[in-house]
Amino acid sequence: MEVRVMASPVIRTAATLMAALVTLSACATANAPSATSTGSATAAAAVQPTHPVEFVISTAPGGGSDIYARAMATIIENKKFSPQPVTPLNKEGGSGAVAFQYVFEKTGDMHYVMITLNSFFTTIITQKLSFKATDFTPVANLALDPFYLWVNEDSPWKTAQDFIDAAKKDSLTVAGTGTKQEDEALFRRIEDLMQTKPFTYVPQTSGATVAAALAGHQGQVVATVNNPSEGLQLYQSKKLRPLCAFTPASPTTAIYASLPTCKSQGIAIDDYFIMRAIMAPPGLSQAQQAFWVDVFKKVYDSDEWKKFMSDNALDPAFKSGLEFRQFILQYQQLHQNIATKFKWVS
Amino acid sequence: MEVFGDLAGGFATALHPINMAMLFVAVVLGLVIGVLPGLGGTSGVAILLPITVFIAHGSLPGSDATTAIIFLAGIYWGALFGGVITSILFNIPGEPWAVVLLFDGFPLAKRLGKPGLALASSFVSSFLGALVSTILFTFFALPIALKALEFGPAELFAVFVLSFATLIGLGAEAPMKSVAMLALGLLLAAVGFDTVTGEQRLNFGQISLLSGISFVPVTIGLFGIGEILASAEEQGIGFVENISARLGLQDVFAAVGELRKRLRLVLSNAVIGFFFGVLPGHGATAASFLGYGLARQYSKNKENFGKGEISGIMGPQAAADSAGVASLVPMITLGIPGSPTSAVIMAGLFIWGLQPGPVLFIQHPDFVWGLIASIYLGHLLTFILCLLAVPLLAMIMRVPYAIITPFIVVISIIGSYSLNNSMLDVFITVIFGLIGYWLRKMKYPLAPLVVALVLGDSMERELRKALIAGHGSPLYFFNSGLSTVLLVLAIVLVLIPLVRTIRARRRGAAPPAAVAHP
Repeated sequence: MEVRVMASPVIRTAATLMAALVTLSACATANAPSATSTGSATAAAAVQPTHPVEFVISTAPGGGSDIYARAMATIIENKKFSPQPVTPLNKEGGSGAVAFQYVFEKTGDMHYVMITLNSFFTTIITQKLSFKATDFTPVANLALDPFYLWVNEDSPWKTAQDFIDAAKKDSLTVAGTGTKQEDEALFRRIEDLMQTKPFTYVPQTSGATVAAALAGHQGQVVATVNNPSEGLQLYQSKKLRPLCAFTPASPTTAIYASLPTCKSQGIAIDDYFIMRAIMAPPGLSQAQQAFWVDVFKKVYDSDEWKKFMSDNALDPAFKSGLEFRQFILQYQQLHQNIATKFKWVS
Repeated sequence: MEVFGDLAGGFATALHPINMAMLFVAVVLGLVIGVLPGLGGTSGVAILLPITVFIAHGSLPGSDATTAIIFLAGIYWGALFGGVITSILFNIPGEPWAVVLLFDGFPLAKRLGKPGLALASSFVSSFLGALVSTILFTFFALPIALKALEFGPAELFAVFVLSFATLIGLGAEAPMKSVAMLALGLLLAAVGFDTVTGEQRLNFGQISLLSGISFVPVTIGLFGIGEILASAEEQGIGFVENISARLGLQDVFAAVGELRKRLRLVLSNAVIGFFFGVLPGHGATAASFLGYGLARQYSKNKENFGKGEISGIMGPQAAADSAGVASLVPMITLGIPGSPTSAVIMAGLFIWGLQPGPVLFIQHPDFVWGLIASIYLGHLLTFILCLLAVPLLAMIMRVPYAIITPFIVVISIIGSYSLNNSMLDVFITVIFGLIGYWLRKMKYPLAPLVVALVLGDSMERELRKALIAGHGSPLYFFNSGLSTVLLVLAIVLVLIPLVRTIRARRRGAAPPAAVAHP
């Protein structure tokens, strides 16, 4: 890892700079005690938290990540998985940039963990932030949230192939969460793979408003790639229906059991999910990292989390250590490719 | 009718002792959260979310998920009422939706010396607004929520334009000054992050500015600090003596009398607030500004607005409380939260293991109807508590200004700090305190600035979404009947001052005061 004292527009405080330099030495010697911008050297060197922990959430209260993070924090709290309280804290803004910067500056301090989704890659790349996704200490991935292709109940399209045929004729208006984020990334992949006309992409504020836009024909929106949990309510009220799932196999959740995969209908994408992953500030020692991996493994194994995952049609996927690092590298590359191909970065 | 049976069952659930006890605790907590500036209803509900898991899983005798939602929603009801108290007494908004109460609530309390009347007016209209909204909720929740889905970007944009227009066309100050303040507000709203292009904007490379300039520290500065500077200059004279000496419930009866004179306004604002609340993502704050604009538009004595006009309290307050209740409607029926606070309550549902949506009505009727019944009871409880507190609260205004001033400054600073635990918000408050003082001296209206700052982001987003959907053609706004009507109405409102001037010139008379402000 290199410390880039870059010509970035970000005015960095002396403390951050110092912390970043310390990271360098910490990385070189793996378990060197590291001073932090906030805590004392003893606090940072400890292998478990000595005061309350902030669980940073990069979205506003009520968003997808927020719900997942609060469910996790509640399990940690109720089951006493951590010796110190783990308190959720929303640091929304800039599609996650505010939260990432905040946690990045807590170098070497294990009293911060953060829930991340794919904006952890897209935002860092497109906003050209001064750090990389790989600079953070990876803890674990707890679940993969699949994408489904959704249309309005009254849509003439019955299969994914119908949708692709229509998309080849006209530029379709589609909606998703945020610009240059995971939903748009998936639509651009479809556009690229299936050689459709470019989609007109309308950014919305949250998964719920994306589903609402499709259900209400707002602004001529004809398709979305909502997660199963986001579309569930409007599917039950017969306003929306899924055409296919971007997964390797058909879903197992009862209500979606008969849904075919998109791959089987001609859109060969089955490797793209929203990660629900935990990251920690850069420069944690191996013991500190192991502490958090252990806590979140216990969360993952709890009955409460299992029920939560099945309620929300999430795919269980615990990844830590080397496997998680490889996953991070793979997703970083995937998003970098999309960003370059569709000129998200100038 | 089936609904009455369901509702009766709901009341049976809500009146269960544990549910009533938790409702009482919740509304008191909500009132406290509402009074504290910076700690908003949304964060208050979010902070207490972990506790509800214990409640939902039966840690209290007889409690279940219904108790948990009654508790969370109760905090919201308390905060809806309580947020106005500091607005009226100290000119500091306790909650975003109480910002609009600064325009007339504080002037009525301070300049006209009627804090009790101002508070009581706010509470009675809140209660009536909530009542209307809850009745609509009880009978028409699902059809209205489905109708609201059809409200696209063009229609929403038209609604925002209309609420801006009500502030320009009918302002007491010079219209150009209102326009200048609107422009400044929009400029401030643009700071941070461009959600459509996904790029940083006007933040001078500062990550801390990426989340934008929040309007709460700005309004605390403009109104709270700005007013103190102005008062200090006047040496705070001539208002302590004015405070009415009555310390009884007379103010409450007076407020009810005022309400009866404005029944049509309050009821229509409550209905409009309800529809606005059901639209996803806007909620009580936007509704309160719209309610203020409408109150002003329909009023016969527009020149009294900004100087302590009771319609300027009742109109927005009825709309805000109504919208607050209504924001639960799309959340419960469709899983689409109508406001940030209801988004957090929805997070609670997921964590307790419930799925919102139409199935909820079938699978968990106790839960849904218990909640609906608790909305009636919660508001009644909050209303009674607030009315009993009016004389005590009004007494605070009799404390000499020299003592209260430092207290207000401290509360302002703490309030803006506690918003995000960031010093940046404190600096914003202080800077806007100075700006507010200067604007006051120059006789610029502050209301349009605040409205533009609050609604600017949403309006811009809807505008750009509509333009993307319409492939860049502005004619897209005239595709739908509703948005066409609203936009035409807005244009007419803006043109009113212009027409007035021209007419006055033709007659050779002096232009009206509204235009020729010295």
